[in-house]
Amino acid sequence: MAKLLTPLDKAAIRAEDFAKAVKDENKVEASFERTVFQQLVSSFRQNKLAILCLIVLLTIILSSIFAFLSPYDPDEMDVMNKMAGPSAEHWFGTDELGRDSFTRALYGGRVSLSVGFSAMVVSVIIGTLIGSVSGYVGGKVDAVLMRVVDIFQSVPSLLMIIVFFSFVPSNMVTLIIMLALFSWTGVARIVRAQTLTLKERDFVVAAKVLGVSHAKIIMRHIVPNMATQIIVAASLSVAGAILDESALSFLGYGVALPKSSWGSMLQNAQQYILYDPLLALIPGAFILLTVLCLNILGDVLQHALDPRLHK
Amino acid sequence: MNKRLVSLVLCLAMMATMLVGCSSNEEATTATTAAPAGNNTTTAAPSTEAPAAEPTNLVIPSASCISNLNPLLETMKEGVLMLNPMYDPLYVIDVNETRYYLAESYEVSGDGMEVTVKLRDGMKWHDGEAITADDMIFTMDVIADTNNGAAGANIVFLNDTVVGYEKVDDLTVKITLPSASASYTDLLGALTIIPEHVFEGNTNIVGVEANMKGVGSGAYKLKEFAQDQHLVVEKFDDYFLGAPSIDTITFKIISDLSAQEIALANGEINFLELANSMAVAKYSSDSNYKVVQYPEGRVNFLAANAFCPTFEDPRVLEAVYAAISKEEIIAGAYGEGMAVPANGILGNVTTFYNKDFKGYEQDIEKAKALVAEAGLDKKPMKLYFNSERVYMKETAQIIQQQLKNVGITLEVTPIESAGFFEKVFGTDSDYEFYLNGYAQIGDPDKTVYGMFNGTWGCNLKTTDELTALWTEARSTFDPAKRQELYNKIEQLTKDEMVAYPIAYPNYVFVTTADVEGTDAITRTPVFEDFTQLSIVK
Amino acid sequence: MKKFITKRFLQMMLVWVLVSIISFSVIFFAPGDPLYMYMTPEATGRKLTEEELQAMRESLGLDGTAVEQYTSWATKMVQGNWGISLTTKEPVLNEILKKLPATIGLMGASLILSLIVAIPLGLIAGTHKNSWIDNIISAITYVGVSMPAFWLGIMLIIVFSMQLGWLPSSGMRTIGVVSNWDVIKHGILPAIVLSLNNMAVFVRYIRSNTITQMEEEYVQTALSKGIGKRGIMYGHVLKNCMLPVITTVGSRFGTLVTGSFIVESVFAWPGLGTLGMSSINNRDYPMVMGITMFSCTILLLGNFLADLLYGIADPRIKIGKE
Repeated sequence: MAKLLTPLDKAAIRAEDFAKAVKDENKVEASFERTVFQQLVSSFRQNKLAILCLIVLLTIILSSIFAFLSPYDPDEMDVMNKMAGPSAEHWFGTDELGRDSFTRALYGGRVSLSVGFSAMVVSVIIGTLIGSVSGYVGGKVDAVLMRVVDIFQSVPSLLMIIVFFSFVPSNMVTLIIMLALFSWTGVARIVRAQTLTLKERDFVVAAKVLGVSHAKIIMRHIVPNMATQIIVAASLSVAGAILDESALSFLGYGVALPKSSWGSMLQNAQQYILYDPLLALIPGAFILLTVLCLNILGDVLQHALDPRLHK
Repeated sequence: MNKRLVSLVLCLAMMATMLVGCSSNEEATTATTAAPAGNNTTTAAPSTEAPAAEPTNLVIPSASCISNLNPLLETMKEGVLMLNPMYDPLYVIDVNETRYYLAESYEVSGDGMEVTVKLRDGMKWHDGEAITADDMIFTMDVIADTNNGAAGANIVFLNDTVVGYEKVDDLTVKITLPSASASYTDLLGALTIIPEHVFEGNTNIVGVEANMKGVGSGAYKLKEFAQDQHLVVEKFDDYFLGAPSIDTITFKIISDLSAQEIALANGEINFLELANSMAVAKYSSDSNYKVVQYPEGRVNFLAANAFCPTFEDPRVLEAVYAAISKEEIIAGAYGEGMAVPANGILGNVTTFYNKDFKGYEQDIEKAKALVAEAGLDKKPMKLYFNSERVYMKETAQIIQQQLKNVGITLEVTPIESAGFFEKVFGTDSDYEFYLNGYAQIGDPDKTVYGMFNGTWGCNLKTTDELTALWTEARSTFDPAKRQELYNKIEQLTKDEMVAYPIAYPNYVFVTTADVEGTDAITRTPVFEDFTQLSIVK
Repeated sequence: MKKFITKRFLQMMLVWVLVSIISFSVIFFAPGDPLYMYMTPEATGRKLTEEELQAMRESLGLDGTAVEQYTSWATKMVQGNWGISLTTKEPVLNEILKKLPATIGLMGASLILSLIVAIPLGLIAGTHKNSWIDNIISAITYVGVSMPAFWLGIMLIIVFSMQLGWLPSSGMRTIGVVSNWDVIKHGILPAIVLSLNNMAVFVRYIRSNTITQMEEEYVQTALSKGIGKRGIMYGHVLKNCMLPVITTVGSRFGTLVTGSFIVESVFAWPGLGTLGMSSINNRDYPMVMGITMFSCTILLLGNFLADLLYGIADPRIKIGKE
């Protein structure tokens, strides 16, 4: 699933792993000179597109958060006034049960965004943990963990998630878990590759000599030094998770009713598409816009933070 | 060098795998020539319009496809729809008349324990063999072998006991019942017979090739079947009621309802089931189409799970039922003209339906009072519904909203059919409600009996008194007495708050204006008698 | 080299076995009975008794412990007997092979389409790095990776089937019409939707490869010698880009398999995805298992080929040592 839609997917990651392996040295060096935050700020200053995306994204996030300011209850139905067109009262019209489409889209954003971000957090945690241990310890542990990664990447994940959801009711928690379960492998690969180069570096070797525990070395010295790569992977992973969630909701495995995400709004709308295309247009546009901004941001970050691409 | 060679071979191998797939179905360059070059070659799909001399074809869409051409194995909606023209039942007992198909007549003995069916003489299977009592006996043998999982088990089994059946002569079969049943003749009529000679007398029909031969008894015989694409049947000239008028009937698989509508607009299909009132309004006002509408014979209801401990407090159901407005559900979920409010558990085309019976009424004040009194606002409840059935999702959300208005939190969860039936026909106690429906045309003893007296294990509350009444009604043959018993059952079911009947949906479909005779028989599933249909240019 | 291939192949087999065990356990331990149909009167008008259900289970090979069932399934699977579908009562492998041409055709068409579009776009973007045309192309790729496939499908149906009436909205053939053009017309929209995401990924990949190639000495030398840009493009850059690009194709097999699930369900394309969705809904376990393993095999083979090709294509990667 993640493989289907995540832009920086396995192929790209794998390809870049290979390509980068050669030139990793100088990149790591460069990234030590500035703090992560400074890098972010300066890269944004240079890129107007990134600023625009950030503004759009923040607008969507903030309006979702402040959705309660809307005069309408997203679940309040008005069956006598269903499928109304856009008007002064209902900016984007009403849906099949007479609920305000705009308000529902904002509340739907809450669901989509929180599922996306939570799945990202979970997958980044799992991925970082497994990737860094795998790269740091090496040997058999590495071989085993990488096979685990292989397995997860070889399972037709969409099929497994659907099979899973045909037995377990889908809700926010199970959605997040399932999405994270099949998307941490990308992060793990990146982190492992970074760890492999980082662990040879002087300060890690020095820490080892000083007798610092392995866990501490990973947590204090290795992970913080690849924060930039993790942030990039994270932003792309949110984008992927939002897309995946929408696809699952569209297939009918979404969050609990009456809540709806953008994906489940689309699923609803499909039935009435000939009579009210607006119902499908709005949530779809929200998904596209959000994912687009996240992808561009992720890419801009990656380019800004990667001296190899920065020439 | 060597590496290059290997890589080349691998590349070719990959390309080859793709091309094999392509060429094997002649669709290689599907998209390479894709750019929709809006010139004259891109006319819309061929329409069914044709000069008068050309053969007529009726195209009916189906959302999913059958996988066998054996009606005993295809028990779902698509099976009934698609195999209807190919196989006939014995007879159909409708509310006001009985229409005979394979059977010429049936007779019930005085004590109601014996039914004798006489088949028409001279009927032929599509391959020319005669249809005889042996075929009927064979069919019943097949159903009696439960490993087949064949349809019509309620004809061969009565209360889990196999009925006795024997051949009297080549056209007559006598059935002996283990116990009297007033509805048995109604059930028996629905028996669709399969040809013994095609199955070579083998009653184990699982996975046998004969299932795909489609040799039937109906007005249309198999012409072409491409799974998940279409089924085409052509008129059978030796049909015992005379050859039908339309030359071919085509069932086209179009899973998406919007896509079906587009297909109708493009002239690819002639028929479309409608499930939203806007569509009905649109087609009704268009002279190119004809909308037909009649009671579907279903009862959709909200059921209270008999195993759920929440209902130990009777105020719960009282409050919930008082909070619900079925009128609002019908306006919101079904839409105008798509259903009528239900008053009881018998449907509006069920025999012994009592139209004067009063159903549950909304009383928000009473509901609120009960909620406060019983502390129901602190008790979240759960409702399951079947995500594959129309109207259910909307109904669930409206009920959720109506309960919210009186302070009750209802969690609604969709489950696809498989899981849904397992849940609501099981004994789980972890949920309060579910939405369901049953088809009930004719004798209430067929379906409503099983739903409400506990024999089907549908999770609905039963009481000894109700069970006794159902049993009595089953063995009573006097219509007036039965009417009285069913009135009592309805009242008692309401008092016990077993379920909340919500709607009697209408069956609504639209056809292109050239299709005639679609309303000759207003009974579901469509079309019972294809000889009634014609296409008039 | 041989050693590497053998090792990779053995690893692939191991992963395959593990995936089969995991999938089997998910399906086996999942709550729910594949014979649910007969546990209610929905299907046959009567509920089967416990004994009758048990007899049916035995006749379908659905009884026994998880280990027993898995062993018997795996043994038969290796011999080519993938079990009997519970809904169609046909051999699973037959059913899969019946649906395969439609899916492979769609996947192949979409792959070809995405490459045909991606190669020129990628080359142009790469050779005109940071120009306006590069920006436009990268905007297209961003939209391509960010577009929810099913939504695009719906929008295309609205425009091309509903408004313009140019193309059919679903299915694969018009009944009674036996022509390639008919199938092609049905396939255009699904192939476009399925290829968009891959197209975007390929463009980005080709672009970055082109940029790398353009900076290589031989190109710079050729340029300084005054050989036309076009000649260099086709003579050197394209050639050196292609192999790595083709390797990515292998690793995109997974996206095609899962992508076809969604696309097929939007366009009612009668392929493996449609079969998969309906068998999941019908709890046709042998079929679900068969399709899972089939998709997994395609995926693994794709990755395997990609790895091999990558090793060959990029001499910097010492594959023997991995």
